[in-house]
Amino acid sequence: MKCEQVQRRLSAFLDGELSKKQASRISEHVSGCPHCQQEAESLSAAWEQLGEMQEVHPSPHFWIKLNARIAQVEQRRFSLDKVRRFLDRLLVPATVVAASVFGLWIGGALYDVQRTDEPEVWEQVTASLYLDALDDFPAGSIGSVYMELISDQEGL
Amino acid sequence: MTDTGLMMRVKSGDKRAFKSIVETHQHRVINVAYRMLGNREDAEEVAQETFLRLYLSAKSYQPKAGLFTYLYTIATRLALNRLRKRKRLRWFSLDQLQEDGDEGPGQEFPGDPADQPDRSSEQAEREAMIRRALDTLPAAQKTAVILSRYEGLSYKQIAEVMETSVSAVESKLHRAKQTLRKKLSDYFEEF
Repeated sequence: MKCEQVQRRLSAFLDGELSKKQASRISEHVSGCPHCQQEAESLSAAWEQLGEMQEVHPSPHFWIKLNARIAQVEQRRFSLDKVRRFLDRLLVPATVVAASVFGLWIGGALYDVQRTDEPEVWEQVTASLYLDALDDFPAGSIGSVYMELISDQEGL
Repeated sequence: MTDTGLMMRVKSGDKRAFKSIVETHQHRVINVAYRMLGNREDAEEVAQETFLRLYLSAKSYQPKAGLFTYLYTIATRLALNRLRKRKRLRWFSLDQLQEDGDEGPGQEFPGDPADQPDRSSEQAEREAMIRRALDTLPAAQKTAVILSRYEGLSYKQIAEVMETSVSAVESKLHRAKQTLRKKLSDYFEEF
């Protein structure tokens, strides 16, 4: 094995993470190579220098605090669920009411326009509906029948 | 009862089973967070958040790996998020100090001395040096070192916690050891 290959795997070797076969190949190389031996020793020493770090202990109220937080989150979830269920129940009737109001409003507006005595207003309405496209339809076609109806309306 | 058995009971809303899990693992979880953050209060916060998330996700818990692997994954991620926030805050405070014409802070957030009441000043100083050396590592390398050196996890377990491959863990640890060798020899020469 070349030194470069050995050094790449030195950490795993020192941590006992290699298979027996790989470990014995590296061990064999290291014992006969002063450079790799020094590299292994210095890495090992640095690892040892990390020493033991002080341990801390959870506070005596750890569970009580955690339990309180869980209860708080569950309470919030429960409240949100209640609001969601309430809104779900309201959704269908609210849609029906909104659609009815909208329908009534549109119907009322059209009825008012139809009832108006001012012909310009009616012209404005027909113009806004882009009915120009229906001009000059062949006699008897749906377009011409519609235009006749419109003309009758205007004549009233 | 095993962790998996307890988690199955937690899934059906058994709080006592959850309490038993907390009591078994709280020490390891708080210590991994402490080693990453160097502050007891932050570590306890991370541990609380870790168990809270475990509880809230109990219904979708799948016993693929050991429970402690799952807990370590949550705890290390939360600790890394805190470290990122600290870095942003440090940048902000550095800007403020420079604007005020003061010198920037010379060191990382050290461990709170109040966390180490029983330690001699020499031990505390030594630990602070080690922490400073660890703080110079990229986050993933630092996590791998803590899980390997202080938690005693195998490369395979570290790979599971960090959701990466064993060869990636090996490479991270190798690079970390090379950096630490340099940093620690500098520190201990000064010391």
